[in-house]
Amino acid sequence: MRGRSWTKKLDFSQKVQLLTALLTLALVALAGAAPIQAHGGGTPQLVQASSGPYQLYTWTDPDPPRAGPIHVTVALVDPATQQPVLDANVQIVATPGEGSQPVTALATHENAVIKTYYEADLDLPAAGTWQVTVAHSDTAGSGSAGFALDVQPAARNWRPIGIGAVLAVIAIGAWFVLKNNGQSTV
Amino acid sequence: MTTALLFSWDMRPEVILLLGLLAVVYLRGWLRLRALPVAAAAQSQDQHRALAAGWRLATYWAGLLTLAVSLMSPIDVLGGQLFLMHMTQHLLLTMVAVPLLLIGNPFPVLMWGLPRKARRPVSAVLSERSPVRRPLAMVTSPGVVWLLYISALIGWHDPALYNLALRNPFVHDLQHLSFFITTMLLWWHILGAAPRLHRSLSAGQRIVYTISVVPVNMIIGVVIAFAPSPIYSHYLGVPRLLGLSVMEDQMIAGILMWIPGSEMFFWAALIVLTQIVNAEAKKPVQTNAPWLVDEQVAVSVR
Repeated sequence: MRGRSWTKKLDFSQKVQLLTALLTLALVALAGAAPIQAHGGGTPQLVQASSGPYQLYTWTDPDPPRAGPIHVTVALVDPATQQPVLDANVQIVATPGEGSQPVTALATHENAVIKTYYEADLDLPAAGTWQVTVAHSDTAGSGSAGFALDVQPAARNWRPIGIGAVLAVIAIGAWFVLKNNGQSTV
Repeated sequence: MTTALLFSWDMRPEVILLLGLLAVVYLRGWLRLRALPVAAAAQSQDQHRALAAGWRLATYWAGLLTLAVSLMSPIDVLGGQLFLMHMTQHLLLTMVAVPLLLIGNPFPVLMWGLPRKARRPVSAVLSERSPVRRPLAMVTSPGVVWLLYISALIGWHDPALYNLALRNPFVHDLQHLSFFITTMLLWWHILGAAPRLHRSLSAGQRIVYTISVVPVNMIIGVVIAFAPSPIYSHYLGVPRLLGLSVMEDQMIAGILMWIPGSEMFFWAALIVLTQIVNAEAKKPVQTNAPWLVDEQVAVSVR
């Protein structure tokens, strides 16, 4: 109720200013929060690899791969028709050279931007060479293909610091605007 | 499969918010211009009303909508699989969205949509006394803009850069941003939209300026369309869609750049030419013009 009475005191112009400021803040936060991922692409790892009854394409992102989340995109194609296969079960297993446990993820259309592809995120805990296997199965049969992924150590994440700095600048600017707001109206 | 492709949208929150913010600020400016008090000077009020004409709001919002479609719809998503989709996306961005946005003359309307305190620094930067204005005018002069546009056009069609853009989303965004900004600056000179930092081009100069970019655009389009082998290796490593081979896809993309990509500049030049003809037609008839004398002589011959 207190919040409602606070907004009631604002005139239309101030409400628009407030809305604009909130939208700007949300824009900065969103632009910074989501890591840029190559949905439906990235670095090709498997191209037209024969796998059971189908041909397999696989891409990974980022390039170079670093410890942490690795985005994997998979496409299954029927070699006879060159049409994408849409209703297969696709699983990705990353096995480390030594030490860590294997990491598994289910690649689905729901995770994919291109709905003819299958996508998943693998959270690889350590650097090193990982053997990645893409396995699929459906009524036509099953198959798998793999590739070695040389994972670099995790990079320092500057993103939160950058977002914080931008938000601080916006907050200081907004404070100056609000401080002098009573002296003039738009 | 068609349904799967039609549902392939990449709803990017930062794009939605940015375009939404521009739409709201433009609408606010447009409404404020329309609601100017009657006490304002009559001529000024008419000018403001002309800025806030309904069709300007419609074209500006259509421009934003075109941007949204080109950046988030299946046209964007499938650009990595089909060269012709990627070319369509670039044409939508540069040949449709940009002119539509600039026909809405966004600068003054967006300024009216901003809070007064935000307007002041922008006005200060563009004022005659601002130290920034002169360098800004220099780097955005028609010649420099022409060079920037051509450089971006040729540079981004280099196979190494183009492949990199398709592999790296950050570089891909940079490619789109550079196409958008350089084309925005080019159309800014062609359409003569605000802010006016330079002496306006005459109608003749505008025609020459508009047509001058066509040969480069056409040559790149023709080279792509008639290339004997795939130019961009990225498309060799992706599944083929719509039953198109890599070469068929490449040829269609080249033709798209060559013909519709150049056509928009011809239309712009044609519109300026029509304006010249109309302006000439509105000039008063000279009663003592030589041809009138000739006509009288001809009529008086018996």
